[in-house]
Amino acid sequence: MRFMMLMIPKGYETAAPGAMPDAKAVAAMMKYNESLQKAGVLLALDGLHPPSMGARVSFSGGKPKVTDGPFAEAKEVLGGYWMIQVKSKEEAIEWASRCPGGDNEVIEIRQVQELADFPADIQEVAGKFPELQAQQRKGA
Amino acid sequence: MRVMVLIKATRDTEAGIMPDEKILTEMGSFNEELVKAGVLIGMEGLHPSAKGARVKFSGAKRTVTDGPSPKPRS
Repeated sequence: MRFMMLMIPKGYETAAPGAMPDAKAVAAMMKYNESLQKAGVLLALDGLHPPSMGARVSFSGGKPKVTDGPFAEAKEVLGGYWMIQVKSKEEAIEWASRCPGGDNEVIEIRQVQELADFPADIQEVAGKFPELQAQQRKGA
Repeated sequence: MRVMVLIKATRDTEAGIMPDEKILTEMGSFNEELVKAGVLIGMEGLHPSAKGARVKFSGAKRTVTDGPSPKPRS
């Protein structure tokens, strides 16, 4: 089963555009990433620029409305993620616990929805979009 | 440049309520448009946070909390 490990660094919600972690933290994280790769559990990982470089699109009343970042109302934001393939939620928690996270950081673990997790009627709708399924298989 | 488009959880997604066929079909068409335009690299849905967990870091200490995550905020 696939899990996303979502890194939530406190304070990143107000980080200036172009903000970067310090070199020492990056070195420790690289070592951790390498251990995930060597164990064969790592599918993908990425870091995200701060919300001050992003935007939000909301759909109140069906009309898209764009707001530039940062977002004053955001209490928690995503700093990056890992996608891993493991045998259980416990194994995912174990991997997250090995991360050299700082005191301001939290990792949220969420299982990825596979097509087989959905009821038959939803799988049927998904069957109408073969190109999408091919795209998802590429990612899986 | 690569951009991650994050869809925030709603009360329904957190409760595990499935979208109806109309919404699914509309979303499928939208996603297919992304594929055809050649801009889609990957997309995934996540199970509700109630099935997840959080790991908090404090020095060498790790604190694991089972889901759900704190209430979705705007």
